[in-house]
Amino acid sequence: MGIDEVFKVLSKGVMVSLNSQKYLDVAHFLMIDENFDELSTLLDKIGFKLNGQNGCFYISKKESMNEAELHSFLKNHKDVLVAVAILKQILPYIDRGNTLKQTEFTHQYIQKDDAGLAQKFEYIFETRDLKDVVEKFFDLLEKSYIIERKDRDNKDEYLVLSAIEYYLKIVERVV
Amino acid sequence: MKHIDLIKLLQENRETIDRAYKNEELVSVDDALLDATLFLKINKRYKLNKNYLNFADSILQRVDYSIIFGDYEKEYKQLVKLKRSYIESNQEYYKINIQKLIENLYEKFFNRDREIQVLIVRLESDRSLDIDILLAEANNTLEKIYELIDGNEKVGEFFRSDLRGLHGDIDELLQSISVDILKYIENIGKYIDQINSFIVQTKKRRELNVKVMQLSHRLLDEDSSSLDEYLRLHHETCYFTQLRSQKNRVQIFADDNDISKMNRKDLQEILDLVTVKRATKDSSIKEQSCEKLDIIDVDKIIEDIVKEKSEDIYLSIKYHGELSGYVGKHLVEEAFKVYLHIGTKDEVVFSKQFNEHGVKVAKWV
Repeated sequence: MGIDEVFKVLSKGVMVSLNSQKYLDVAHFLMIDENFDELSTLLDKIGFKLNGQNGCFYISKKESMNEAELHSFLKNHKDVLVAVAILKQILPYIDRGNTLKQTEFTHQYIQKDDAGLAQKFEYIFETRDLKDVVEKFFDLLEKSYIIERKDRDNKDEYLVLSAIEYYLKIVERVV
Repeated sequence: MKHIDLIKLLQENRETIDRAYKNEELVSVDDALLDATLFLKINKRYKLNKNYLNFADSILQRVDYSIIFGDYEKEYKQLVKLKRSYIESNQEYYKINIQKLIENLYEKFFNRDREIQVLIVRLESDRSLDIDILLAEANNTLEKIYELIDGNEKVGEFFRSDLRGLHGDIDELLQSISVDILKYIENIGKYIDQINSFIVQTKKRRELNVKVMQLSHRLLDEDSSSLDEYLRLHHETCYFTQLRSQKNRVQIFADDNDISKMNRKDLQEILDLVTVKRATKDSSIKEQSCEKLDIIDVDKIIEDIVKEKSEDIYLSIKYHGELSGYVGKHLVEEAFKVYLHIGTKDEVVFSKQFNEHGVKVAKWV
């Protein structure tokens, strides 16, 4: 694993969590101060910033985002922010490092029997079918590097990654 | 005037000479400069002698596009003559003159090679000229270089074969310069390729400039259809397109500073309908309550009902010792529950009458 490969991963918009198994090499590479500083300096030269807080690494702009960029960021991350909010509503104590089970999530969702939630799910995933909704919900979280499968063959258990903190920080601004 | 005096004169008048070299108009100069013919008076103005200008340009490697390379025809003819005279008379004088001419020619080769190099660098880096004029100058230079080819070959061949064997000194001189001369002759081909490539590139640049100019005119006329179409079709490889470009794009996140700037209202709009509560780690503590667990032995009640041959099962239950723990409303409720339970037994027969509590009278038979 070299600096070029790490840049390739991060520049694709991957938020690398320290507890991720998939990006273990990248996280280990960036945990070494010299490597972090080297990539940080390189990114700084081309107008970007390497962030490494709350157990995850990601790239942001060196200068602050302007209004239009912030708006565009929120627009692009709308679904995932809503998904994190829903996850936290259904399983309030879920946190990084926890195991998230599809079955448990489904059970809790049914228990809630919340029309508002169902409406929001329908808005994001364009379906009301429970099985579809849950699958798409987990897909979205996985694609956003918030959860990852604990075992390739086990479709039920997922590991909650540190990246959830990043999105929670945004979600909790409205609380 | 001796050479050392000339150097002294140049040193004493260096500022005047430098101003004239930089094309400043001079209305008066020292008479000594005029006497040494370093300056000439033309139409009330003093100008530097062309010979001095050539010397300075050559040493400073400044070559103008107007340079004329000339050929070696004069020197060549003179050499042929001197060779003939030397063979006929075998006089040292001719030999020395042949050596001088060879050295002159070598210097000419050397200077020409350097001048061409400088000229090419100038062509390639010139940003001050109009692109058409630059192309014309490049073509001009190319023609001048082409003219050199024949002269170069002729002199080269003369050095290699015709002058050899005349005298050891001449052979030695020719030998010492042969490698360089060959290099200078070969360089010509290289320079031609270089200028040709420059001309092709410059022509392409001119075409591109024309296209950019046309496009800018169309955009000014608010006709952007062709540009729009191109950007749409090549969005994956173009940096600035109408669609999202994938080429070397760096995906970014909002950092802490950006997050702090996020408009609460915008976020609220996104998260509308989803109510989120901050997860608190304190769990609520329920007050412990003592639950009384009362067990009624129904079988014992049935046994007593059978033994007493009860006329009204409900009343027998209500006043049975098993229910002594209940009073008031609770006693009525518990007694009725047991009455319903016993009422499921086959031995119980219900009459059409109701007792004072409004419950159907039942007997055990």
